[in-house]
Amino acid sequence: MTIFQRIKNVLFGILVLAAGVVFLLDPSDEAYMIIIAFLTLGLAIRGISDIFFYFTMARHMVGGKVILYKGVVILDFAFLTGTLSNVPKIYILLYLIAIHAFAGAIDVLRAMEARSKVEGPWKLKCFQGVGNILLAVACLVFIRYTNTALIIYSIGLIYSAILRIIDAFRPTAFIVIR
Amino acid sequence: MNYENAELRRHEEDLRVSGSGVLVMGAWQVVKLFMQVFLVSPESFRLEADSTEEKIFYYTIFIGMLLIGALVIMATHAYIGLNAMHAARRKPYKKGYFAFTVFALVVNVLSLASYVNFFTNPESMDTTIASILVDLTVIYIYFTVVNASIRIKKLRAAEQEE
Amino acid sequence: MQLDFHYYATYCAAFLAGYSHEESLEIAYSAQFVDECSRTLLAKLKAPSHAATTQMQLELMDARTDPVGLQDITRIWAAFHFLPRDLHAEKKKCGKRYLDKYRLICGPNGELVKKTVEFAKGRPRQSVGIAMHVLADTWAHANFAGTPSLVINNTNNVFFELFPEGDGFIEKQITFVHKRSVPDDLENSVYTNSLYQSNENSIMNLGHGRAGHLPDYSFVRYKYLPAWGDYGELTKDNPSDYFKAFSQMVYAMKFIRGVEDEFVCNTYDTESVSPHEDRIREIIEKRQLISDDDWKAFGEELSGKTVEEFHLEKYFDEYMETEKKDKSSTFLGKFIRGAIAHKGMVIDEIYRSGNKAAGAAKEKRGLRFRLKKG
Repeated sequence: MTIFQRIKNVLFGILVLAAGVVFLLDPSDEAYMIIIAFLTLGLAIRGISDIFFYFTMARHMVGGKVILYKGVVILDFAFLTGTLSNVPKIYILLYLIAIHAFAGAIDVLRAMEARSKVEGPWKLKCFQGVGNILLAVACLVFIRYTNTALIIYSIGLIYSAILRIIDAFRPTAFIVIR
Repeated sequence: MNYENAELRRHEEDLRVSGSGVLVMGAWQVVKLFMQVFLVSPESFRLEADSTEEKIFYYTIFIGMLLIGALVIMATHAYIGLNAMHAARRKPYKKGYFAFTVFALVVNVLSLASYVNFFTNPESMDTTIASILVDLTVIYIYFTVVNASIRIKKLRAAEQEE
Repeated sequence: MQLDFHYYATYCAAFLAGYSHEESLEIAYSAQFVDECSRTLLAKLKAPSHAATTQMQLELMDARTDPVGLQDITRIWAAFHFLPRDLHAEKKKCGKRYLDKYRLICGPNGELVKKTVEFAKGRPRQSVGIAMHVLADTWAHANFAGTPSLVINNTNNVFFELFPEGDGFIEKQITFVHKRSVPDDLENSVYTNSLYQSNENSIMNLGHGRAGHLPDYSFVRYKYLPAWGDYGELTKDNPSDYFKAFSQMVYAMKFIRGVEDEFVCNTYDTESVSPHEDRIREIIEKRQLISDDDWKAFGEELSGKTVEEFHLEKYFDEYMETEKKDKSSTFLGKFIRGAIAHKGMVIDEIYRSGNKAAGAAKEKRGLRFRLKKG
């Protein structure tokens, strides 16, 4: 990780930590809307930048088409997230839990790959991923008790944020061929 | 630099990537289907029934149909996607994937006509634009699979003749 | 390329070009020092940081990848390790941003390498060493660019090592892993490379990182699909390229010494090299990670004298103990001035071609490098 990536991760971690705390202390409709809005915006920017990158640069690259497809899927995901603003809170919570669980699964897969192919810390990533999945499952178990599920979800956000900040300060294996 | 089989490699790569794109799109369609039903428009699927047992029965039928639909969507996309990828990598594959792809391409192109009415409703314009974008991409992916398959067949035949 | 070629092979080439044993050692040291002279080392010597000719791992980890940071990275790597082959290369139907990066692709026998060799003529031997490092790297690092770029420097799983058999070659799939602590496994064609990063400007996409150390191994032949190649298949024959690099270095240094009237691209001093061709090819084609001992032995055979091992701090004391006003006349002082001048020349050429990837060279009165001959 470069120093700027570390700073970016720390700032993002603080943002997610703040979101978790806000969700915990004031689970109002506005809190949901803000989170959905941030998620939509972030995904839309990511999708559009991937698509833009494809048309300006990656279309000349061997295997560049995958970047276009990735961008479109992310953009569609962003728009779909945006349409959730008018649904009951419970469904938004389910949606956010699903994203959390998916991110956790990706973390576990990456940790397993890091363990076998890449030299790098994998235990923290694996722990983070498993933790996210377990929290998502716990949220689902208590989904009928909205407030309990919300507390568990907020704890999950705070947990993710803290681990992200810790990860930003860890030395990372960095293979640059000179 | 050897450009001798460059065109063949390009189309093989296009077929491989588009094949995996079909798989991803299939999975994504299934996810969106469930999200549409349970999150975005759950009230559209509320059933009127006299008793709880009847409700359970109708909901079971409904969920069953939904699962079958999802399975059909996933199976079709997997058939097309996996066979396209195998064709690209010169592994054994089922030639029927081409016919399925052409069919899916035609269906998707024709389905664009349904968007004509949506432009009169400004409230859902953002989601309409998003849907059109995705549908156009799906059409592009299917077209790439068809085009790449045809070109690969011709180029490989020419390669064998040499 | 590695120390074996930049130091020992350069010594051998310098000796064959007519330099004495001591002069050849100076040139060889300077050639290798290009791979050592980082900002960290310059800070330790209290020397100007803009003389840096390389960046260490930790420096790269902290490098910014915003436009200014990218220019800083490109200035070093394009000038000293990935000299562009054709600053006016054309590619159809592409934007300016892509074209700028495409034009930074390194390769031998370009206009810039001619200018590099001509620039070293009449300058101290340290500048000759710098020029030889740059020239040698145009052969080894060909087809990669000295700027972080996914769309130029990426590779995929179409990567095969070629083993001679009869009149042709057999292909073996190369497996790339990302474990720095494990040495490359030559027997099973398992090599380390940098991790795939989809970010265009990631440091992992700098130079030949995605091809691992393969370009730096003189014995290896391989074929792959370069990201910029429109699906064309590129075969890299390192034994042939390294031999040409060696022969061209001899020719270039003869020109610098004044034996040859001009430096013409695509010209190699086969006359001086041919008596030793079998020996050189034997060293180049030997399947080993490091060839220091073999090149050293060859150099000692040529000169009849002991070729001392590369000692990084050989000239440090001289530089640090000299007063500031006299530092430029020390060995490292001359190297530093040579590096700044060469970098300025290359950046200037890149900028004047309309490419802003390396920024612009500043021309200030008094700082433009002018040195007396010798």
